[in-house]
Amino acid sequence: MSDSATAPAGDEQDLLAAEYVFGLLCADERSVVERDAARDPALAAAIAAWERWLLPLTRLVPPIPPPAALWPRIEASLAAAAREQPAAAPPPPTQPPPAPPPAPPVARPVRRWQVAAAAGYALAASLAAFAWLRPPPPPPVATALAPLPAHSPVFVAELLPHGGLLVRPSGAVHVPTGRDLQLWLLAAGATRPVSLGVLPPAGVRLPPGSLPPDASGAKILVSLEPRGGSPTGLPTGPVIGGGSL
Amino acid sequence: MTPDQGSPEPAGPPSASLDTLLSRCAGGDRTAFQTLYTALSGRLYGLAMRLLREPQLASDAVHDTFLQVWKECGRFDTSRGHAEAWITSLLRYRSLDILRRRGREVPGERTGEEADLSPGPLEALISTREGEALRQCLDQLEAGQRKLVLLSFIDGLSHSELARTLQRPLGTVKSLMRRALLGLRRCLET
Repeated sequence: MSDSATAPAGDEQDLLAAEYVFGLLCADERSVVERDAARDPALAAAIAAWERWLLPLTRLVPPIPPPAALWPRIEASLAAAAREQPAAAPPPPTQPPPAPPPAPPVARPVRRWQVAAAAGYALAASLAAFAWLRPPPPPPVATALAPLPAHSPVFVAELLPHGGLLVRPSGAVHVPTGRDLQLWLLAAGATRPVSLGVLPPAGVRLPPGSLPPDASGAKILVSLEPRGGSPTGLPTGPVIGGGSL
Repeated sequence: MTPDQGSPEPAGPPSASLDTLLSRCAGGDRTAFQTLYTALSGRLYGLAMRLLREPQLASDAVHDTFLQVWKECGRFDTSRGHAEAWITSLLRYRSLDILRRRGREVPGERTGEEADLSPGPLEALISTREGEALRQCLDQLEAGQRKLVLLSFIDGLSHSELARTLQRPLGTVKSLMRRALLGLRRCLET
């Protein structure tokens, strides 16, 4: 990552954005930049500027026809994700597209297929290239681990008198096949959460000592991860709920 | 059904048409999604092969990129965005994720010879106004800095890979790269 010895402070953000776009950062550093940029419009704009400036360089690489099997594979992945989506699930709230679609009216099953693709494929680069996107709606702040989408699990976290933490469901919990929920602690002022382990749908009781002595102002977050939990030590899937202690 | 694999134009597909396709994707139009694939898959697969060197990994990167496009197309903001830059960035970042996770930062695996640094290929940038501006700014860098920029961006070399490839100390490479990036930004902003 950049040091500040040779560049004015105003350049540091642009340098960080450039290092991110070029791919000079390690995986952990990339995750930090993505999280920061999701909250910092100036950093996101700097990343977007580099992406656009450098686009012509990508055209120097000759195109190669992809394998014929690739498109059927993409179609199959989306169809498989659609089958995993519960039939009763309504489409999530989405913003309208920027221009009226000239295609025929959208059939609801198609939209559900699209939504299921989102649920079934939480990609590692889920925040990547966010600078071109509208920001998602802000998450609610609550002591409970409040859900973002309507069908996310709902949990309540309680600090126990002896110092432990009880996290229990307050409603029906559905975890997609092949996925696990994971619990995280984000200390006040920290930028990187610490894992508190996989969160079973039935809840979990963490023993004393699982939290730092002074957890006031910390946030408890729940993310959707691959089976067994995040492979990176940081959230890789969407954060589906959270609240402050 | 497999779309035809036409060769894209050197300057890339018109951004306005890509914007339209993304808007239709946002409405759940699978035909538009397939047309988008036809327009961009050759360019994206070529980029992924350049970065990852293995057909299976490149296929994975393109596959994941298009799933992400389908997932996020409803949030794509045409007023802020450049569709090709967005989708190309998704592909590059996915490829870089794969590269870094596989721990391919092994000396000797990437020779750095793949990036053609001669003036000829850079002349191809002139085909668009943005490309011409970038080429002029690259020309203003010292040859060593330009080499770092191209090796990093086109071949996906990290700081440590650059240091090994060029047999220079890591600190020196970082310092050179920072100066190159600052110089490039100042030029591109003007």
